Amino acid sequence: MDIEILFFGQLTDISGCHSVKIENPGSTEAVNEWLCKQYPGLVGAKFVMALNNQLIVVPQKITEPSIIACMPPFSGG
Amino acid sequence: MQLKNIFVEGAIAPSFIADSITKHATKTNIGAHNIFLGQVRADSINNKQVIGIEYTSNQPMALECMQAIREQIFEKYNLTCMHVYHSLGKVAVGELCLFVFTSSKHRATAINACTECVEKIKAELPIWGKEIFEDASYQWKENK
Repeated sequence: MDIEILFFGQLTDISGCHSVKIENPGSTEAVNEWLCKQYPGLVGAKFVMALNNQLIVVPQKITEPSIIACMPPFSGG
Repeated sequence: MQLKNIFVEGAIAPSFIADSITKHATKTNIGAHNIFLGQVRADSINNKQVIGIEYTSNQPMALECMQAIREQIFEKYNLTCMHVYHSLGKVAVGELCLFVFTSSKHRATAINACTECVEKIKAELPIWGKEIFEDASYQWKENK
């Protein structure tokens, strides 16, 4: 089962893409670990993650095809 | 539930705002409107001139967040109606990128609801602005 990871704002400068699909590593923490290995520029970068449009406050298991959004500080308006 | 779209491609036209005001003439229980308009500013950063901002968003999430903000505002304030529009894509300096329009019986309600809504939009909606300079370089905008 794949999950889709989306990048927004300045994070796209680090990832070099807007989205990537990977095999589900099982949890939001594991996604974070994968991200930091794959894109070392994300280590120390300021961003929040959302699982299926809900901000991730505590680590969660990922049990279904999901979308994880990586979002730097908002700057709308 | 169908989420209300707030996004407009490019700048928000002043004529669109005028039309929006005109449409409220039939709502005769309204006694006060308050409007906030965000305009792209020609900032000068390290001697480079901003010529525009390019907006992107996590749209599905932004629309869900906006729905939640709308519910919070209507719960707190006795509004007749509220309309919100935000630009996506390129907006040139001097053009409008945000339009928030609140209406109520009396002015304090419309003014306070509008202010709170603008603050929430800036803090909570997943939208990003990329400031484009005249030499085509850019920097990511930070909200103050």
